[in-house]
Amino acid sequence: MAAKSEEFQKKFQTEAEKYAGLNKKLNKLVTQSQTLETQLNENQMVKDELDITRDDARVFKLVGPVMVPQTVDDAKTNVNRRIDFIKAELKRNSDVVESVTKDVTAQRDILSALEMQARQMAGPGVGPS
Amino acid sequence: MAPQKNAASKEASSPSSAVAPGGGPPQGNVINLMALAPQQLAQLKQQVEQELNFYQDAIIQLKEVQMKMQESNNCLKSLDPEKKEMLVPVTGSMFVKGELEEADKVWIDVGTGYYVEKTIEEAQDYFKRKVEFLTGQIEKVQSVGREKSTVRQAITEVLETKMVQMQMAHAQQQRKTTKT
Repeated sequence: MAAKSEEFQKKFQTEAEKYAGLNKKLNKLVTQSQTLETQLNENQMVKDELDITRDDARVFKLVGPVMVPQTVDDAKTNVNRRIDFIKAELKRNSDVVESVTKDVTAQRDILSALEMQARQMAGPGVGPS
Repeated sequence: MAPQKNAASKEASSPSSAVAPGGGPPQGNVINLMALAPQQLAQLKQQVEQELNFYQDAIIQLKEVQMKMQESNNCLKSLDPEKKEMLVPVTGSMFVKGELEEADKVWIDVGTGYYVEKTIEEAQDYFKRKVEFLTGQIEKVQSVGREKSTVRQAITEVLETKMVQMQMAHAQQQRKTTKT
């Protein structure tokens, strides 16, 4: 009986750890998504601004410590490319988030099943430990 | 820079992990507060409070940016294209005399490292638009924040009712046991 419960305890522990790990992963992904979202917003604002800029205006891009001159057209294509890239990245990220969310739910079900089992094993009359 | 979306959920069924990816629309998320256990209510309350804090911080940030924009706009007003002389700061406490070559144009940092040349009028228009945009954003966040604080109020009230109910039930139980 003692050996059995010890084994059970071990199993429970590994499953709980798995659950925590998945949750951590999910959190990280969500943070990543938020960062991407912020970047997308910023780029979108730059795009809007460039769209209403005169075509012959001078534009510089700050690259490290130097200002590189660019035409408005070049700047627009660059920003658009960047926006497309971020959108693709966001899409990829949200797909992963979806699958990890599923994993988390599944793992939670496993855990609660184990919890039930533990309560049954403890049996009536024995208080929760 | 402006935090417009946040992905916080209020899933009542799973209070242990409340991370909602994507942040879906909250309509499908109606919770009957009375049906929740006090412990769940407390958890929910905490979550709502966290969200409230988030919105309040967002508002502060937005207002800061707005002030900066306003300041830049004010500076433009005092920039006279005819007066080209100025002191250029070399360090915080040392300056050299300089002369502006193009005093009727300014460079504006529009984000992600891009700088756009604008005339003073264009620049003023830019800052005006930014300030208006930020005002709109602040209003949006404020309205969401108000909603949240109503929710918090509701949760607090239900929680208090529950507490009173529990106390009354407890007292009744005791009376019964003392009678028999």
